[in-house]
Amino acid sequence: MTPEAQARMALQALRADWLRSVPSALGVIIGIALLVALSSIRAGARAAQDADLERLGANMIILDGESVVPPDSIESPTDGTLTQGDLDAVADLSGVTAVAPRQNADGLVVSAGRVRANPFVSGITPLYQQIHNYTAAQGRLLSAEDGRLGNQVIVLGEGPARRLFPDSSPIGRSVRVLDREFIVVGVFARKGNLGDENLDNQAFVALTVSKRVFLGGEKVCSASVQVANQEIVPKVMHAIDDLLTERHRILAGRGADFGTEDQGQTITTAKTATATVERLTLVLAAIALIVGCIGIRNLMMVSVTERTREIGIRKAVGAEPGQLRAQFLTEACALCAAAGLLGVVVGVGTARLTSDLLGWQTHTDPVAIILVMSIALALGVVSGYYPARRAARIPAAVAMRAE
Amino acid sequence: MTPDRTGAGAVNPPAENAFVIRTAQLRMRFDHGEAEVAALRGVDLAVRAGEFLCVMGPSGSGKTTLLSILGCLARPTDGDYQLAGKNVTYVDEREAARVRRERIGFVFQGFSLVARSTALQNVELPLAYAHVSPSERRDRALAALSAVGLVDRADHLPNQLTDGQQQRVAVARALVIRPDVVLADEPTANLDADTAERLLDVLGEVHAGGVTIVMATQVREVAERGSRIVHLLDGRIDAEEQVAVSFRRVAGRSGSSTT
Repeated sequence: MTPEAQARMALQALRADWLRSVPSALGVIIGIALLVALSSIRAGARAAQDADLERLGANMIILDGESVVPPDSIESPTDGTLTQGDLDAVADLSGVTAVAPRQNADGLVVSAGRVRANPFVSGITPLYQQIHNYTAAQGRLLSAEDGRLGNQVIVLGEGPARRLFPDSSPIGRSVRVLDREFIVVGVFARKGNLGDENLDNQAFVALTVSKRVFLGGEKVCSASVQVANQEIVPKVMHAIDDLLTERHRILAGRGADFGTEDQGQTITTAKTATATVERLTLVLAAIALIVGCIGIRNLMMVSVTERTREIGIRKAVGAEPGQLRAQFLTEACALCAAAGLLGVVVGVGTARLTSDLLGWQTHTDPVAIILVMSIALALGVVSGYYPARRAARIPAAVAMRAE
Repeated sequence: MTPDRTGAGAVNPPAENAFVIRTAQLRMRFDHGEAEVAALRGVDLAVRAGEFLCVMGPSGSGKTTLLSILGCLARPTDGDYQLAGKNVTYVDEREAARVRRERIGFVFQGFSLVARSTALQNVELPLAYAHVSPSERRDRALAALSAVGLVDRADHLPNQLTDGQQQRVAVARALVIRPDVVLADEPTANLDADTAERLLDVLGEVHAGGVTIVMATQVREVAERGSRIVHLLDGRIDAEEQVAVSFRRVAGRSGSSTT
């Protein structure tokens, strides 16, 4: 009997019994669907994450000099703690490729005529724009010259730009921050979110200008530290901790006045939350597949018992035990493959629905489909093995028995 | 459907004393827990090529057991069985399957067909297991179906056929391999009188074509279709008789075919 004839026979049996087969195979359908949906959502999340890293700047440590204020200090949270000396020392650490300071000025109102916006205003350098992959959507970004000459120019994010100038181009227009006038020279391209922070609700001025105009002082409250690759991020973070503990003379047991944070980590925090869900889904999928496997095995056992006479007749007309074993194994595999295909359809549908309803990015990889179909076929072999063996062992003499 | 294999490739018709089946002291015991049942207690049987042997006996006399052993479906507990000169008493399961699909055709008591397969597929089945090519399979199966007058039902499923037609398909399936012997175990038991008659006519035609047949039955009139009757009682051959030619209605009531 050719494999093709074998498969046709198996499908014939499947078609005859589909009403009974579907509930038995439900576990396999659900399990495969879960696996497909999970892998699609996961691949989508990874793609989104890669895109985030690409967009926000890879291999980045955010050095934070504002968040932690010692309990008995008179410093306010907006005062920076990082000196130029600190930044130079960090830049000298091995593995560090760039250090770009950033001075935040919270709560400033930017107004154009009667329209006001409340973006997150920061003083930065061109290096900051560069390592965080900022690009200009309109006009230009801040230049080194702006910093050196102390130009009172501002680059807006998409949010404040649209709010302040809903009907016209903001380029060349003036806005007011505190009591100072700034000329809008550019709007940077859409950035999206970092964690729960809307990066498009920002406005940039030159660091020298922000120091002079907004906050005074020489210290900054934040710096972006770019390192050579993601692997050395923890090591460099550690080195920065040690260095600044030393430089800021933090006593053992006292809280530090700085912090370090892996930007990649911030991007993946949402993912660590889903890791639990992922694991749970995997466990559910495994349970469903095991249940499905048992269901199909039982279905096949019933089928073998019901078809005892048919098996006897097949043996009487010359089927060898191996040929019968192959027949029932093929049936189990065909059933599992059909269930697997159905599962793939349901899984892809679920993934699509997830992207439509939740706005998650999903990506169905053909390799993943091939993989789950292989799993389905393997389950067919596992669930069909015992029934097939039993079928092959039914004595040929049952053909003679009257029904 | 000319049986050219009985003489193992001989060009001439088989010699008068060529035995297709020869058994010596066949014994069969079944263990049913404590009770041991002896179904056969030493059966010596010889069937010549071209014979139509009927095995008669009440139920429980061992007919089915004897046919199972003759069909290599079961192994005897003791004794010796030669099929067409070859000892097949204790062949293993694979070899037994080979012997069955190359040398033995079966017609069972009823429901002899695979329910989900068409008449044609049922007839093709032994050839499929013998790895005959699909086109040859189809040609031979159609020829066998036309020999039993059912070529126009080739694509029908068993449940679309009458009981009698199903049994004729079973005959076609038995013939398609050009067997050394056709074994029929009470083939008419589940059929009404007219249908049974028609099936026996078909078997008669098959026999007239030179095929050796061994048929088990409980009914005297059915047994008289054969050329010889052996009576089985309690697992032994009790009596043996030749059927007078006048009883043999080989061509059936229609009288359409000649011997």
